[in-house]
Amino acid sequence: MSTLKFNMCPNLEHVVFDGVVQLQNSNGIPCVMPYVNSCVAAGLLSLVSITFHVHLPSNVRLPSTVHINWDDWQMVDATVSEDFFPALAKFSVILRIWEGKTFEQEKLKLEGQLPNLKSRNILRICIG
Amino acid sequence: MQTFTMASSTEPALELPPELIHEILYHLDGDTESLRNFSLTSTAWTSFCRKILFNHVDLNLRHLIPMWIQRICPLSPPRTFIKECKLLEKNLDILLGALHRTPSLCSCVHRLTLLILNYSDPDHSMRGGVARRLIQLIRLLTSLTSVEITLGYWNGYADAMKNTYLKVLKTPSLVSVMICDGSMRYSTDILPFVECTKRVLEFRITNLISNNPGARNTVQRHANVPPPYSVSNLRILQLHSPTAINQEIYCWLLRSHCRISLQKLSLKDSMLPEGIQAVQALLNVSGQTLRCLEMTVPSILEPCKLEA
Repeated sequence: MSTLKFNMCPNLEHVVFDGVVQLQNSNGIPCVMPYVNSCVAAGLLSLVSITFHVHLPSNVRLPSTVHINWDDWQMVDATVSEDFFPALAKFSVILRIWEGKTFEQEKLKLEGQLPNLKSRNILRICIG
Repeated sequence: MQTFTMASSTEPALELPPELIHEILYHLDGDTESLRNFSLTSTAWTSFCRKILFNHVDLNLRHLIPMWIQRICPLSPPRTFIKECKLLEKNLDILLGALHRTPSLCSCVHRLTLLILNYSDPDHSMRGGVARRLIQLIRLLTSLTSVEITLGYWNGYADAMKNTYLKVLKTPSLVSVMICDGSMRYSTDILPFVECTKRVLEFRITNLISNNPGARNTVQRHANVPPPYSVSNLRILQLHSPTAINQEIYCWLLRSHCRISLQKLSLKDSMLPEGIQAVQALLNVSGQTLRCLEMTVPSILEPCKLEA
């Protein structure tokens, strides 16, 4: 998959990835990872914050037996938590189109997939 | 809010430094009645109140048509249409009258919102009256810093209105331009708008589509055009439109400015394979100063395992 190279943007401080889709049986993390890896490859020393806007379909009521699979987020956690971004002070995940009741459960699950970011105390998950 | 009466110049409140008066009155932004009363309190306060009251001129014609007319519009179109025209003409005349009576008010207007619906032809037998007033009004505003345009179908505009719009974008004091919700016959129709990016700091485009999908290969088309080596003031660029329009803008920027110092770049619908090349070129040109990058990643879904 073609991606962008950030080598010419050494002073980037804030990166926002919008349009990350998370469904019951598929997710957009494999699409985002090339861009995250590009950030790593560019060695963005001044990167302060990374934000993900995660979109969930509003017109699909999730059956109680089906759970969102957040496993792929481990890749993001592993990559971002390395020492590539020394100035990183905030990693935000904004979940869009969620009902409050489900949000708390899924927030805990997602936090479970991002242990390194949580232990660094830079993780923030909220409803967008 | 109580109505203030005229006070003597020895009142302590009237001896406040101008910046404090402005700070206090600025909290009343949007409270037209209170600002009007304050402006009657003292001549010293009048100019401050006027600056706030006339800072933003909203020419969104939907806001000038009462809801009851909008509601009955489908029931009796011809009669309502005449009524709507007359009402708009009356409202615009009030504003024009105020600006003609007190020319200094024109310099108070810094922000302009435009949504002119189908009142874009000054020669039209019924709608022409409104269009002529709009043109007259827009041309009076020479101190604008920010313009928000809801465009509609650009190729349906009469030449006089088109020229007025493009003239607004050439206002020397302009800092911010936002164009949204419109369509154009050809993606190259956006170029006259983009030329203002030499001067403005902020340029935003949202939901602008071109009806001609064939105008995509502009990277190649402009590749051999030598750059005129100018400097752009542009710091914030937001492109939330389909690829064809964005491609034109990228290409124009790349071939028109050898020095562009973007600080914030926000992209949506640009990250398709054919758009990435142009975005990369823009990043390479303006990357050194770039502080914030927002982008929509391509949503090509890949299946993952179900938990249950």
